[in-house]
Amino acid sequence: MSLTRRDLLSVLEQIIVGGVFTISGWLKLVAPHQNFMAVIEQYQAVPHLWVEPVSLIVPWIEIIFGVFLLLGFLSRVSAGVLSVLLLSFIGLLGRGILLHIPIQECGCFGSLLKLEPWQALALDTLLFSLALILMCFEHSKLSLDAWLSK
Amino acid sequence: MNFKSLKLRSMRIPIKYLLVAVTLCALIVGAVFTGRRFLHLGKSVEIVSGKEKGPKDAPIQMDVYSDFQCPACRNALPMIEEIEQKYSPYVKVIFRQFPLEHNHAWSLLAAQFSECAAQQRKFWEFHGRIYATQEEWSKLTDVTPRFIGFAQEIGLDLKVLEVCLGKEEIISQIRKERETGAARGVQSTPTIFIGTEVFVGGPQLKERAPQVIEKELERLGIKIK
Repeated sequence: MSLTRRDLLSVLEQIIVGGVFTISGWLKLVAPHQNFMAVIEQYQAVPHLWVEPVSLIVPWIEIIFGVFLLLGFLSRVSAGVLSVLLLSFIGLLGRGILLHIPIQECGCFGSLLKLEPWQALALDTLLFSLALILMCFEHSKLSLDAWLSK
Repeated sequence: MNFKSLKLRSMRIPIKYLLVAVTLCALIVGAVFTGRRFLHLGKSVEIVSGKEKGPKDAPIQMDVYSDFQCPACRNALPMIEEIEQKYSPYVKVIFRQFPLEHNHAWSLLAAQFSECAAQQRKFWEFHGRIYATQEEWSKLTDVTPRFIGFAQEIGLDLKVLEVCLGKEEIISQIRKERETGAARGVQSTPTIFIGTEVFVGGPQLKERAPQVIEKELERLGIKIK
């Protein structure tokens, strides 16, 4: 099996994007969901009735598609789903910054890593770019997709 | 029936992809639920004397993880007090230290003073003063004289206080309490536990706590007047 530079770059991108979402989802899921509810509430953007369902669903999407991407399984679909999430995070953070909403910290990684809104915005923009690249290219030869398509 | 692929409308999904997806999802769900079991969610921890308020045998225990310099904790106080009054004598409140040292410069020192006040059975007096004046002392470059002022106002023995503040074990006790909170899933302040229910911030407490308390009291056969 001959590996191209693109294959190696894809693996690196998968590890970065998939890894971040796996960790982020895991940290939210092993803690009471009320923590993430409080994070969502501080953005003042989600209707009150939706806060709890969103806090319950989003972490599962993060971890499932994070793990999928990390392993290179359904890479383009996973990168697509995570791009949609990233785009909504970028929108929420950007709105918060523009409207001067008092966001203490982004709430992205539970208590593990506290990021200021502008730091989270920079990270999400970087991850979004990487996810877009992953969506544009065929899966890496080192991915689970490559093994399954044999 | 073709066993190698499932035909969903016009899209053909190879069955091996479905099997891998289902297996991965099952592994993820299993890992998450195993991870959750390592948390001590809802389990009460030992009471540090002097930081509880309300009848000792009250059936409802509210564990309040709080930081003295956190504005959200100050804002949640009226809601906590409202619950205490409404459901008295069935509720006891226990203050748990959770100083966010990285965000709030004076939170650990405030916690130290409060622990020393607790040793002189004046915790709640100090707690009241410090939250009432939080906005003012949070901006100071040196809060020690201000905290000593509070100590004098509430009648603490300053010599005993000085000895207490010098003890390393007070800091370890505070950090231990914080670690216990983190193990129970506390990530921000205030986080309040009522039985197995968790409330993060005052708005969640105000909205959901009365239902939880009333349900528990009903279960215990207690009718509120």
